[in-house]
Amino acid sequence: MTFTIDTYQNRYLAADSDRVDGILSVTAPGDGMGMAAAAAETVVGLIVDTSGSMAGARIEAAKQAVTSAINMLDANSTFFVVTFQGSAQVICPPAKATDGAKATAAGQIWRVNAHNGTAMSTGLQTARAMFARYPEAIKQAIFLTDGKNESEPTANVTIELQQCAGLFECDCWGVGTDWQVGEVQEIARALLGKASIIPDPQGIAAAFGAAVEKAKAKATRDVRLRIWTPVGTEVVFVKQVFPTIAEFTDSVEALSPQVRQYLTGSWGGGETRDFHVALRVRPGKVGEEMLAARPSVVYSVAGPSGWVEQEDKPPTARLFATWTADDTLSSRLDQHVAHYTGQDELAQVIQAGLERREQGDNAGATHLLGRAVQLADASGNADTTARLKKVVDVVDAPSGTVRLKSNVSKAASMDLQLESTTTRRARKGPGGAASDPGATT
Amino acid sequence: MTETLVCPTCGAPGNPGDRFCEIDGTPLIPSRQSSVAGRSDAPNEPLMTDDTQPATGCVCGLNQDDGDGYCVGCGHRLHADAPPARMPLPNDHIEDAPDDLLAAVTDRGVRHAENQDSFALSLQMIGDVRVPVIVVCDGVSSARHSAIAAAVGARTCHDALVESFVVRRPSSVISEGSSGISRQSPIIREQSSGIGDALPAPLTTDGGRRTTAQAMRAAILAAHEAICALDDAPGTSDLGPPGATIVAAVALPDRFLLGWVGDSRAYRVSNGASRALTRDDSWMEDALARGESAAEAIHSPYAHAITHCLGPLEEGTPEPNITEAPRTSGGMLLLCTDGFWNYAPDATLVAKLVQGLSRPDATALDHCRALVAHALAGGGHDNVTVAIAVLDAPHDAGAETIPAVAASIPEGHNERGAGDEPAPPSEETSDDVHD
Repeated sequence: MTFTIDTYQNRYLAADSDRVDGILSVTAPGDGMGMAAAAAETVVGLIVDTSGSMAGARIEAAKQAVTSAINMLDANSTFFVVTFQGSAQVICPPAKATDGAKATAAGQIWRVNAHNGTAMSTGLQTARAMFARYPEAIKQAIFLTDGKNESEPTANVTIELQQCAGLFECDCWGVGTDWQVGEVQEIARALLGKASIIPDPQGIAAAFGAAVEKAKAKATRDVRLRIWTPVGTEVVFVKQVFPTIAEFTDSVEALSPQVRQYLTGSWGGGETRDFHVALRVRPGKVGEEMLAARPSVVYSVAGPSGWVEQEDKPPTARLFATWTADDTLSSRLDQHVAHYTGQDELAQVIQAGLERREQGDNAGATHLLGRAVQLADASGNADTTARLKKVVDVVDAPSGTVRLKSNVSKAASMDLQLESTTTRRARKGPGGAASDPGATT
Repeated sequence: MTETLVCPTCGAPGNPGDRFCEIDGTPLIPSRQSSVAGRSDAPNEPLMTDDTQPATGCVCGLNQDDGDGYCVGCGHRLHADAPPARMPLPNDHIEDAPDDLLAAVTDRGVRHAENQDSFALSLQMIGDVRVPVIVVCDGVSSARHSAIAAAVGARTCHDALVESFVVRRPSSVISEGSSGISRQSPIIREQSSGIGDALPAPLTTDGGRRTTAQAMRAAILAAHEAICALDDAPGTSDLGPPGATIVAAVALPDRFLLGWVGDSRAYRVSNGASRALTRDDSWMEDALARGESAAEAIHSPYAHAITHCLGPLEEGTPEPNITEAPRTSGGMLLLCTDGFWNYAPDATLVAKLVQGLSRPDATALDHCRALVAHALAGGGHDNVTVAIAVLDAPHDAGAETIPAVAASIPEGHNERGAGDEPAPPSEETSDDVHD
């Protein structure tokens, strides 16, 4: 069983054109991966904010959620729990999730109290020290906070994240609405994870449960997208575009002038992620045909006697460039590229629109969020449309006519901001209809 | 005059008496091979301007195969053998001219790999009046089976028009409003001493009457149905379902009858002046109607996109544009696809082109060839088709020549739809000149 890569592009370029765009839809092997997941050594680390603001319902809900999450683990998984305020403590040292260890952990968690301020880098640093003991395992952190990182300089987190990146992955949650989306997203982005909002403490248990299920399903680690290109090719960008938008361009590892590699973390069996690759190639002459990119997937998979390193290079996974004088061929836009470019624009206008709203520029916010409604409607992204409707009243979706709501809950606005990078998958199969402006005679 | 009929898509010659290709069912068309200056049609010779076959070879000097036929250095395709030359297709260049006053030429152009334009035309007689029937179609290049769609569309519409106006008793098609009175009962036409009397008198399928506009609309919709009926399985193609434009003209004894869907056009050229009779179903026209400036709109990626066409690509039934105008004599009717008018974007230039490119005594075929050559010389970015009916004064509707074209074709008379408005009375009509 191997990774598969489906490619989507319009391979025809006008003479002198040097831009190649393609979508790589990468799917992890599904069959037989249940066993690999079970065999994979997994370390789950919970990093929990126990600052003074967590006191009361929040800390009680968090403690229950941590305990339930640990109880879901198999006996061959390892877990630990770190709490942090102004400094960090290891309240449950790393241990295999045996019944005995789970019981001991429950007691240790029960004794936790909330007090003092918030310095997130301390929690991350301590977790890193724990994860570092397991170089060969799948390492997944679950991070919870409720407030701003006010007890330390902002740079501390940025510096700490540079050490953590590539070592473990982390999904982050903010409970309530007093925390800063940007701070939490910085952690998630650096550690290949997602940032989400839990408006009400009762939701913490479900969020942690889902995170543990996801960690248990991981069967491959250190999955790298490796891309060969011809001499002289520049990468304009490499972005994940499904299930969320995530930038990979700057985290490139250049193995050689022609081979570049991007670390994407651990994948579950059967998981699919789509990537948009944009290249600048040496232009050819009309009639010339060139192999513009050859992607492959390099990863470690758990086998019966330990981890096995593997490279999957599907023979049909290739991006081409064919130069032509026929501009009906070169002017066509591949529908997958168009769809994800639209989803990317959608994410950007949501962010920009929310920023304008924060700044009090209602006219600007209305215009941008109207455009977002139009894009979400046109691409069938129903989840994003539903979230937008909590911030604007939609007069006419196809034309993007909206009115800002006067009363918008902070949670709804933060949720929209966090989920703006969640995309809808491009439809497979041929597209194009009379409504497609690409229909020229 | 015997004509060789060939299939426009597979090139097989038709058996005598066949109307459809026995291999793929495409309607057969007359074909007269003719070379156009500047392009070679010799078989087996690679066409220098053709770029659909990739060139071969490494460009970096390393020339090392990666195992799949591409160089590990520059990525260019490596080949041992030269690629096969592109075989010329029979519909790369087709001409038809029933006589000196009626002709059409279609050409693949310079850049496209296939000619997806088509035409169908014939010279009919109603009494002793020359009635040219011309249909021109342009297959949507981002759609499947475009060449067949255009050929089927043109042939189906042409045959339906001939059926309505000539084969059937003309009385079953009513010209309303020549004298301002709409006729309720069929009237035998004494002057239809030609084709009409020799045949039995079929009525329209519902036993009723139709206006000329309704007959044109029905003919275009028949073409639409024929394209929808094409056997179309997408397979792995990323092209859309079949689609084509259409422009059709019948020069009836008392009126010009035009119908169209898409951006293929008809012009009236007379006394050194010319104007468009059609208005494109295009994004550009919509933009101009919204008040955008042409200078800006031309830069939009949608600048050459059409808004309606025939076939399943339309996703519904298109509503044909119909227009009628009193028949005038002198000058010509010119029908064409965008592969021509993109090289003559201003309607008023068309007359100048006609004058400038041909001798005064040129035949319709000479005119068509000259205008097609003009488009090819300009770059030939698209398939190009030009059809011309010269309206000679003595043999036409018996009317006086109306000098100013603009004055005789009323503004705003273009209709979309069933054409239930009667044609305005023309000053010179006398009672014995009717359908």
